[in-house]
Amino acid sequence: MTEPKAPEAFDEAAASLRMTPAVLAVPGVTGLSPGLRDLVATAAARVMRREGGEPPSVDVRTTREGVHVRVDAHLDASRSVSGVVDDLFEIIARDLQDADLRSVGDIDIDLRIVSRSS
Amino acid sequence: MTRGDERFDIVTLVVRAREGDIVAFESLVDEYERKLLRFAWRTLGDRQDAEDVVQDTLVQAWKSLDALAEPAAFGTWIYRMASNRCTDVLRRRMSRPSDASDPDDLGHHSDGAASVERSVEARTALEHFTQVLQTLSSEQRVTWVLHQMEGLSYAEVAATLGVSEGSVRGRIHRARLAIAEGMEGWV
Amino acid sequence: MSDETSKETDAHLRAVIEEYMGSFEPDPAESAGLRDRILRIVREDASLAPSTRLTTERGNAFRISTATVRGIIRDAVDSVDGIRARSVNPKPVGDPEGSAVEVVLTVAMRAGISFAPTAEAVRRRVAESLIGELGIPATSIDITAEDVFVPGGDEGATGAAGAAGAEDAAGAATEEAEGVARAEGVATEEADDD
Repeated sequence: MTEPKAPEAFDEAAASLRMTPAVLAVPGVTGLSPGLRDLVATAAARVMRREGGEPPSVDVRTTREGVHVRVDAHLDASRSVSGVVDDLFEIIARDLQDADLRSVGDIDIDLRIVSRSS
Repeated sequence: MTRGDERFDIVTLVVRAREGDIVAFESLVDEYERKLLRFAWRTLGDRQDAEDVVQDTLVQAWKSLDALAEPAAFGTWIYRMASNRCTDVLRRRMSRPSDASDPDDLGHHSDGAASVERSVEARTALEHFTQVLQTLSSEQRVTWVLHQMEGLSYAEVAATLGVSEGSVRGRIHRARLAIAEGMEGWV
Repeated sequence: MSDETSKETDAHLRAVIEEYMGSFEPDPAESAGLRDRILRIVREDASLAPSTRLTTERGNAFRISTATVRGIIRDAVDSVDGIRARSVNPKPVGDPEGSAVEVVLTVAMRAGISFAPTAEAVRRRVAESLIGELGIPATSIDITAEDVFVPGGDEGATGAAGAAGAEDAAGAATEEAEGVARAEGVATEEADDD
């Protein structure tokens, strides 16, 4: 459950919308996987016969400490994994700091590399 | 999975597949899918049922490769899983109430030993043979197909099904008697 | 039934059985869909597989599917002539944890190969690959040869019966493998050379 939002509260959906293309644009990233939350939402949507076929995106959530970002990424073999990881961390942190005039607090990035095609 | 002209040995493929090597697993699928499909199809007589058995078997194999203590025994293991699924399908068919109004519904009778005279008149020996096969019990049918059509020895059939060689002998003997009796006048 | 009639019956029955068997030959084109379905399910299942926790040199902690790390190492091992990777076990170590890996692996090797120099080559390739492809160094790479394969055949010596005559060659190679089967090494010297 999300906590009640203050008037200028952090906009999770907007952050996700901004961050997803930025993440996909990092060289070496070929795609995203739905995170567990999305998988559950899609399954629930199917059960209720609603459209649940949205493309996977970066999952952004506010927490008590700050912001939690979850990314499940597919890579290719064009660069070393660490190189891509470092770039992703930089892009995400920069996006959060640029977008919000107030400090966002702790930025916790949960990045999982799902696969790497050769 | 190959390097040059050499196919990788079964132990290497299984060890790699159980650690997540999908290419190695694809190699196993390539080797066993067709054989299993033919076996299931011969046993069940229905293409769709056979495909379902093969799909479920190979997916289950992927998920439970850790349970295979001897990677070299992959072939026996996979045939056992497919045989068990075939037996389940046959048992489910036999326990469904007979649909007397559907003349195409052969072999789906509540008593396992359906009377052959009651079914649709077969025009050829092959058709009649197909009907006779359906009168065998599930165990007899699976055992007989493994031995007679897949060419496994009694010992290999016993290892595959996890039963004694004596059981295999008994089932095949009874299957042969039923087939000989059923085919009397047709061959 | 007379012996002759009985033999005739058997022959006819065999003919019917042959005909029955022949009517169930799967057409490869038709079962392509089956293969695709199986592999699609397997790939979906693989995306839920366990992860390994690593840390980049810059201190960014991330997870990566363990199968992916194994794949990187396996490819490096396979690139050495006469060697096939089998089991690969990468363990995150170091401070922070995951800033380096310890690798324990088993291989099958071709009959006639000399183990010690080949293991050296494997260690080198794996160390290079971990730096180049993963960006994480290996602190040690432990290699055990657990089987021998014969060129032209696809059974290991401990698998089902191999080709006749090849068993002698396989036997000799197995002895050497057992004598020099383990090679541990520290890979960081090579890794630092750039």
